[in-house]
Amino acid sequence: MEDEMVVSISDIRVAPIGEDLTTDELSLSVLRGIESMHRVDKKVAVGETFLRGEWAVLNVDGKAERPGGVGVGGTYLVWSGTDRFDSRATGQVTLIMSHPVIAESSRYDTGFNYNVGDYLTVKDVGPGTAFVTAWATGDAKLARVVAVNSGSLVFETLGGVE
Amino acid sequence: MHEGLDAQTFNNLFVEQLDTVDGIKKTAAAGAAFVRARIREIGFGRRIMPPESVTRVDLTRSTDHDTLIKIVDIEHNSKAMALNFAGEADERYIQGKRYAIPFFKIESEKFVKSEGELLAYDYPITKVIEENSIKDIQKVEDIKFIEYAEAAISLTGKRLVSAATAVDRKEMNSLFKMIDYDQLLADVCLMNTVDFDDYMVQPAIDIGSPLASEITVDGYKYQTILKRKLVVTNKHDILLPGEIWTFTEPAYLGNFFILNDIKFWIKKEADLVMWKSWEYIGEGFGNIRSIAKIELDVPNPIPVGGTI
Repeated sequence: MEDEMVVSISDIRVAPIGEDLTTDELSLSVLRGIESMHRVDKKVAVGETFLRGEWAVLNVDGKAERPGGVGVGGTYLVWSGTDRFDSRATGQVTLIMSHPVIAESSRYDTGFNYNVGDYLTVKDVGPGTAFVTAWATGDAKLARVVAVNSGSLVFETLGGVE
Repeated sequence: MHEGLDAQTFNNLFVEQLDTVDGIKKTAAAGAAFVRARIREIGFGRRIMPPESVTRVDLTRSTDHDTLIKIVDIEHNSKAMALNFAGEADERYIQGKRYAIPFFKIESEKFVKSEGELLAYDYPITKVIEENSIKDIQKVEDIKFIEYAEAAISLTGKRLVSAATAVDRKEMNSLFKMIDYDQLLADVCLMNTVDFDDYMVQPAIDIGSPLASEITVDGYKYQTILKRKLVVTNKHDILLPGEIWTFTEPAYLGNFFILNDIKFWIKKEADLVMWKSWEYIGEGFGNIRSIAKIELDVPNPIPVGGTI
């Protein structure tokens, strides 16, 4: 039986393009610490996907999966997500497994107002979320706000000691 | 005529040589040269973003279907910082952006005419081809050009709506500033002939007496308006009166590719002559910020009779 024909093309980077390509890619930009940070590949748990700038925890098998409802230590920034061909080939994501780095990201919980110095954690705060949000008692402190920009947060990672 | 080919020669090639294989080859080659030359002259999209020839090796295949794309890189951003002697700038892990330009075919209808009837034409057959093939193909190019430009401004919001009923320098200035304010430079102004007519009746108090006098006699005969290249089209079905566009230089705008070159095919079967033209093109605006449009409240339809 023949495959179904593709009836729609959604890629916004196919002309006529659907995004401003001249803007900075802010899903994750490491401002300090690229040279010394540990970029470690980890297998991705079955069914999980990650984008650059999201965070992953390691399950008992050492595979990357999305965070649960409480912020825990051992939650790592995703440097290279599953949306790339190399990840598809290896079945792995690249995590930043050292700290501190200073990073800017447009992937954060916009449901809070942040101030410089606020602690951040990473937990599931809604369908599909795997990015920094406001820290609350009981959560591991995973980052601290360094600057609040329009559309992005700058934070230093703390390693998540509980 | 292109490449020293006058209408009479072309007519001879077209009709008289079609009975031999060699003649058909020559006719097809001459036809292709003519089509290529003329299509360059009459499409406004090509005057704003000149096409670049590519070959198969420049393109990429799709894994899903038998079509081709060309992947074009976008220059990544960068910045410098003022720092103390002991300070150090931010780091940037370079992430290039690129976009894909899909190719598609534009093809004329396949025209069929009997040899006898073709000879009855008392004007150059090149004109027949021009009217029936070239204009149709380049019109599709221009339709896609405006369609893509509309898609760009729908994202950037660089669309001004003005209550002015005719274009003047103030409206043009507002249009250009949408590009210039964005650290780009408006380089081309595209308008249709109706708006160009309006532009030429500005009072001397606005444009100065010498220019007003000159325009009254000779019309506006310069290639630029407010330092921007002027492209005027009569294609009111593509570019409505009151719609004026501006674009940056091609280098900051996008890409227009032609795969190999435009093709002209001709064949004679018994007394029937048939021909058609086609091309494979890909166009796209990589920098959507480089396009802006102003929409004036020009009466539409333009009165073509009655009382004013």
